[in-house]
Amino acid sequence: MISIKGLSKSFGPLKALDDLTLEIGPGEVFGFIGPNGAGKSTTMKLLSCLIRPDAGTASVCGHDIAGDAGAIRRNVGYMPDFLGVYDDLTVDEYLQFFAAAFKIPRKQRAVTIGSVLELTDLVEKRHALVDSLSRGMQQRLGVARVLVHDPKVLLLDEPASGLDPRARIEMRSLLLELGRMGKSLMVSSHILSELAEMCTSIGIIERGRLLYSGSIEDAYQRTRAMGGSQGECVVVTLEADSPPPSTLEASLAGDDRVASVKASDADRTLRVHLTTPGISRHFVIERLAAAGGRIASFGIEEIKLEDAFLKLTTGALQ
Amino acid sequence: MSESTPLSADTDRPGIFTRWSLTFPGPVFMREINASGRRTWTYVTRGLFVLGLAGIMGLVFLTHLPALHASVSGLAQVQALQGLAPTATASLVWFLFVTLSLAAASQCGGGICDERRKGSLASLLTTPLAAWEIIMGKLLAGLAEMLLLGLASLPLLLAVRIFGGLTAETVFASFGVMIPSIILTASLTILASVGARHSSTAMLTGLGATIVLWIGPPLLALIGGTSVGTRAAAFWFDLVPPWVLGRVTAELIFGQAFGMPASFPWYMSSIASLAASAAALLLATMLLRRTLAREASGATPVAAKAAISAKAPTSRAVGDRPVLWRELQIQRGRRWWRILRWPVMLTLIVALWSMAISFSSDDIFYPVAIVGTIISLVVAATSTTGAISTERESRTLDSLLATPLTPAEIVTGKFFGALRHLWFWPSVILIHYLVMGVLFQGRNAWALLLYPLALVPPMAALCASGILFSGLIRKTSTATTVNLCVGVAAWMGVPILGAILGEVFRPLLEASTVMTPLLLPNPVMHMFTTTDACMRDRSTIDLPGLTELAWSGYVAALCIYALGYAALTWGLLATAWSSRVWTNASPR
Repeated sequence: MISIKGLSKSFGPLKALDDLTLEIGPGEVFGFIGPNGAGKSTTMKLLSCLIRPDAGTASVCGHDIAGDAGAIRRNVGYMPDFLGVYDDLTVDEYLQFFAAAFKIPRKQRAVTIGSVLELTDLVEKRHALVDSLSRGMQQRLGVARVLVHDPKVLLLDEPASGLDPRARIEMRSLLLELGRMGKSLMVSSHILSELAEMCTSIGIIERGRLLYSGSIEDAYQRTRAMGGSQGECVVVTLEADSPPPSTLEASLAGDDRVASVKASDADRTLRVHLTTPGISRHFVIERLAAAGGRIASFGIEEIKLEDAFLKLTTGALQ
Repeated sequence: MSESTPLSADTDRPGIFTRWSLTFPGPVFMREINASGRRTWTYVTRGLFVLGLAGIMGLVFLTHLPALHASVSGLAQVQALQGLAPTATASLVWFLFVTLSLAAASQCGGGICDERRKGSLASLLTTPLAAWEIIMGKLLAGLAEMLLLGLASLPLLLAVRIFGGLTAETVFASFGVMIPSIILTASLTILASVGARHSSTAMLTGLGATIVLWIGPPLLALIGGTSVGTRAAAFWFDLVPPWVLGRVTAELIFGQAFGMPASFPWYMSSIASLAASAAALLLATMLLRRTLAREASGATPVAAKAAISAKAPTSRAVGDRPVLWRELQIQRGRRWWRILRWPVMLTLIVALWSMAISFSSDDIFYPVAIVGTIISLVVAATSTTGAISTERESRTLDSLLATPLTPAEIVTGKFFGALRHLWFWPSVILIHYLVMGVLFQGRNAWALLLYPLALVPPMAALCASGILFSGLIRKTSTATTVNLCVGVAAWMGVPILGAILGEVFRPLLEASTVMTPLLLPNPVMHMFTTTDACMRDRSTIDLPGLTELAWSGYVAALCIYALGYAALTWGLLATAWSSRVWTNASPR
């Protein structure tokens, strides 16, 4: 759906995007992660033909951004990071305005607007003035606006920024629903936990350069590999009357299924990094129990997207 | 344990003036100065101003060139140069007066309303800054820019002084009248900015309020034609800065002031301007305090809109040209103005007519046509200068550009929408002539056809140039100033330049040969000619520099004039939709 090859863009001396290459397939929900000023918004503006690239090519739905802007605009729904609204229009008029701009026939507009309002849960606010809506509702209206012409690709720049936790959850479920509808989504954010739950793939960008692109699972895998192991990390917490973790560490150290063991007497935990993913972890319990350890809890440590981001970006641009 | 001071015990809080002197010139002033220092257009404006100054001086020198050439001895040349000094000073003073008054309104127009629209007024609310500190910060920042521009003229004034023939008192009087007048315009614009939604509205209101303050009371006093009213009007005029400045500069050039002896010395005008400025600033402070208090209590515009929207049962159907539809639907101006504009028009016409009756003259048709034309042109020049910049400021431009709408569709939608809202002032001229001229006095009805032909095309051209400047210039108030200056330069500056050149190169060039093509595009001239032809019911029409035209010839000339403006309008619109605002985006 989206294919980017060697895209670069500078604003004066600032290189906003440096040789970006990226592929996003149909139905994919792509999370674009990076700190502020990394180049996420610039990429989205380039893909929606709002600015021209200095070098490189990109195509959306098979249309080149340099030569076929009209076709791209019909296939892309772009929601900017700061949603400006016409404060003198009602929700219905606002959506009609954009429906007319996308040349949707008058007869079809009411049905289309009704369905996008339903999808974004704004039916009750249909005749309210746009300016009177809360921030969360305005963001949902922004999503409704980009859905009016039923685009195949959605470019959503920080759709959840400035929203309260409830509105964030609502926005997340709305985007998941859009993913289920088969639309390709490119969602940028610097709040990583948000993307982890809805994206099928991610791209990490910093100072205009793409540091990582691929599936979330692969990102976790790489993060683990950077920690010295390929397998999961098993976290064992011991009872208060159990021997201290540092004395039990030796019972696991010699095993070839174990990459490394870290014991912490302070919080009575043992972190066991396994060499290969997906192998049985029961042997850890057996070894510790044989050494006199009394296990309070046992689990797999979850790698957060934050950890993956930090590990994958550390030193990359040094 | 030491006892803490209760928060309410604000005994150590310094007084207003102590506080201000401690923080002078204040954070608002510093921020404004820093921000304007980063804008490219600040330097472009300063450059244009200096160019204008140099141009004025060059023109004055050109007018005296024949006299200088004619001087054979050194003494005669020195005398000729002494003759140049008063004209140069008067031209310089008037140039400064007009440009700095415009610049003051432009600088202060966005003062408060831009803060409100960007949401930064709420941030100022959370600081200990008082409303008057915000107002004074804005005013001083605007005046600082005026000071910089004024300083640019000092070397020229000093150079003029070298020629001689100029007293320090005259220069002092000129600046003494001009500076308080500029402060008054800036203060009234800030007052307008507290209530306005857009900077161009505030700028126009500020300028309009200044003019109304100057000429409104004497005009009211003249209604009825009593001797007390006439005397009161004369007293008031002796306080009005342009009038006083006119007397001072006339004295400078001709050795004596015009009209009756002045009722007051010139500095009374300065005192009156400063007093009016203080009143305007006080009112602005009170209004801003009320706004801040209202926002602090939660009665925000958003809440008010929510209340309104609760009453609104349905939405309107949007047309197939959405930009045009929205421009047509926007309710321009305040609600009270939309309700009161018809009674205001009626009152205006009755007042004008009663003045005409008082003076037993029907010459009132001329000022109505000319003043109405000038107001219509000024309103047209300001109506579209926010077309693109407001979209950019409200962050809606990206959403609009991401649709398949072409720049041409967006620009023409904005243009026709704005044009549709400009009916009021041309209607005043037309209705006045229809009722008072055609119906009551049976005057020639051709004016009802010729007035729109003379007035609407240049208004359309100003709307188109406004859209172009709105795309090129980031700040709405700067775009408005540039558009107004273009109008003034085209219809006033160019004919004056032509007259001077005609005078200088008299043996080579006939003055009428230069003036005719320069005056023909002037709408004010056509409105005057039309009024004169219809009022006097002339059989032929005398256009300046041309032989007398028959009615058919004049109508044909006006049609060509209208077509010329239509071509210009189309050219400006085409430039607007291909200007750099759009060229950043990929071609559609």
